Amino acid sequence: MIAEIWVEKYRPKTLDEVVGQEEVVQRLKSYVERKNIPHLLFAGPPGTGKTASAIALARDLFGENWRDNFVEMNASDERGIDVVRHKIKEFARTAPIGDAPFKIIFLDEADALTADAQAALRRTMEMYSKTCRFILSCNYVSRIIEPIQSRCAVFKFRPIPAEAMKKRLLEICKKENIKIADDGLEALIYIANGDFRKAINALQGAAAFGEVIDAEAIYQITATARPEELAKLLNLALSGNFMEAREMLDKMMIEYGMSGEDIVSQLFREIVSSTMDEKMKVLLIDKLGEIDFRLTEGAHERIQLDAYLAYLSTLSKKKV
Amino acid sequence: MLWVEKYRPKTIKEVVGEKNVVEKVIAWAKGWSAKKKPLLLAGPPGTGKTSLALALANTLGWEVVELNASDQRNWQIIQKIVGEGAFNETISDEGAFLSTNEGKLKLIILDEVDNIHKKEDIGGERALINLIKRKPRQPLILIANEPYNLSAELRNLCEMVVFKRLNTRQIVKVLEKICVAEGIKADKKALEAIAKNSGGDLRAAINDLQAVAEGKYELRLKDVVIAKRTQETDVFKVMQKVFKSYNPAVYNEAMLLDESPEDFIDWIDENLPLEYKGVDLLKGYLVLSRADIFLGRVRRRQFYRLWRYASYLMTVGVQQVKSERKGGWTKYRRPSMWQMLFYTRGKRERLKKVLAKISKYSHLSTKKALAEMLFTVKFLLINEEIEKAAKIAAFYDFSVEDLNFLVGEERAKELEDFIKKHNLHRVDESVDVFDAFTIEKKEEKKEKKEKKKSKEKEEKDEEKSKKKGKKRKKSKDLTLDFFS
Repeated sequence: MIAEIWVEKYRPKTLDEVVGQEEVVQRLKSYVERKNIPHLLFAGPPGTGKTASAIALARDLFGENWRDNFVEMNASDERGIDVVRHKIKEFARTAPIGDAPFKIIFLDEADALTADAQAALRRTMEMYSKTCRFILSCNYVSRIIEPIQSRCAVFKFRPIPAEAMKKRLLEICKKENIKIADDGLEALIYIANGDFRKAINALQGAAAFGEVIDAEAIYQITATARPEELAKLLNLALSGNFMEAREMLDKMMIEYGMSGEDIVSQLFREIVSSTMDEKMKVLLIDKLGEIDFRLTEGAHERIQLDAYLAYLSTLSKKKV
Repeated sequence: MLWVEKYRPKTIKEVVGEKNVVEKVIAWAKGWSAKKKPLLLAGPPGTGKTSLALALANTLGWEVVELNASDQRNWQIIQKIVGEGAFNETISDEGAFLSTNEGKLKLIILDEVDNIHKKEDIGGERALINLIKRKPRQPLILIANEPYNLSAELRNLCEMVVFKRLNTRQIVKVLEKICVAEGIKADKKALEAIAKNSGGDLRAAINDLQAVAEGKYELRLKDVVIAKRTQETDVFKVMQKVFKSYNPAVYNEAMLLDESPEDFIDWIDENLPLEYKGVDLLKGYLVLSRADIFLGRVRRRQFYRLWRYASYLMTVGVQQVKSERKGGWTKYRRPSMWQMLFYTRGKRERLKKVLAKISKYSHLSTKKALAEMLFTVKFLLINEEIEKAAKIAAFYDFSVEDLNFLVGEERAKELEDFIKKHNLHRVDESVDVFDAFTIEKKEEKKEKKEKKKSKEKEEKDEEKSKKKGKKRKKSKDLTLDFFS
């Protein structure tokens, strides 16, 4: 069955299909020729093809039965390094299946691990390096401890260049038999900001939504498909409407299951990209940082966020 | 048998309570017609709201359908009764058509309406308002502890009757009657002690009496060793002192409450914005968020000693920052977080399962699945043509329950029918080869087995804990179990 979710349907099957990372792909392909890889560290923003490249690499190396010798783990989901190590042990214990020379363990979001956990991971990597290669992915190389960095070949993934993204999106449109207006394409590139997943999701949403895919359709779809409510929350609070803002916050936390950390991160993005006075932004960001710090120290998310909303709601009263 | 059930008034004459309250209700019932507004019985727990409604029906020979409005499962039933009972003319036992005057009326009692969702489509306040506006042809009584949690629109659609807490004398009278009926010789002082401790909650008093007196021939004052019931009134009193006065004795009073600082801070958080505005609100929150930091330190390191700083800051600290003494009376609220967490628990569990599937098949962490994929998937399931949507559902291996949660029952059924008809299912090219998968399979089987059991148990437990007013987990735990 073909996946009807386009991000899956158009996930690259081979390294040749990976878009917008020519340098990376070239180096990876030379590994395929030699049928050997060192440990790899993929670094770069979300949606730039890290996971896709890892899977494509495994496919190119192992052929049809790539799944037998490839395992994927997510450091931010697995409960602690012990679980990761246990899983790795289980997987690495047996010899590679078929004529594969080794197995590949792909550890996504490795920068979610604490420094201690990474140190433990490093030992694990060494222990199983005979049978296994590790591909770690992260957003920032600097968040990976040096001993691991030094054991890996580092690959930096850049935001997908607009031209490459355009080309790929047009291919998809052609295959799906849909028409996209020029300004629609521009809008996609703009909202995606180098993130392929975002672009493809928005494109599919807009295609399901209406016949004409123009800029308006794209903006509309990204507004409905993403929790744009953060902007609303911010505006409510800034206009002094504390109670309504708080109700909205409750809803996001409870019904959408967003954690305080999620909300703080999204607020950060929202404030930075908003049109408010830059000096004001600095104040808001500083306060937000304090709240975020408190959350990491174990404070109660709702009370801290309520406090932040109260802070925002008094700003308007001073201004008025 | 519980004495509260055994001695529930059978007729309206037996009901204890204020005369004019009872009279109002009788007047409403006697001249009842579909034109009349539904009755809204409002008041604290154990003041006889349900008893009065039941006794009323019994006296007038009405049938009773008693439902909990906050439970969404009940809404299907409610819709049915509204369809068959409330709007249609009544049909006699022999199947003959009777006009409403001749047929037996069905009294629909909707309990806990103050806990229904404000924004839900099904089973929400809006649905209730629509139901009332259609003028059901069966009498409807709504029951709520906190009528001011309801929207003004809903309140105005009803005739509200307010129940007050019972006084000690009224409660003692009832307890005396029960003792006589049970053949217990009771010291009046003992009964007074029970009554006082109940804080005007007759149900609590009867339960306490049963606990100390059942099976005895004599009840003396020294037999009455009952745990002091914490009442919301106590919490309210302390909050009043925090918000309205400058009296630092409130610190000691707060320590006597049966609420740990972890719980009490939720009360303050909930009600602070009702009292303080503007700069006061900001200052209040600055202190409160400091108090919370101490709580956080206790949580992380189990330094319970630090609780005193949290307690002091959240009481005296919040109290002292206000710019002026606040007058008047404020209607305080229970922490809404507790209730919401409780009622949305099923949803959160489901969301977790859905995210696990998206994360597995789209190679993402659950966090990213939530932030980047969930809304797209949901949108496509709803808006794509059925074939594509069904394939997406099959790709993620969504169960009917998952789909119900994501797209609502109607669309879920469409999708499910299509999937069955065309026999769509995952081709497991991308399944993990090792233990994660097998473990999950085992767990799924186990889950199915235990599902029935635990569901029943859960329902019971939920009811129990609801009655006790036991608190639910706080949001911190929410995220922990959410992403674990």
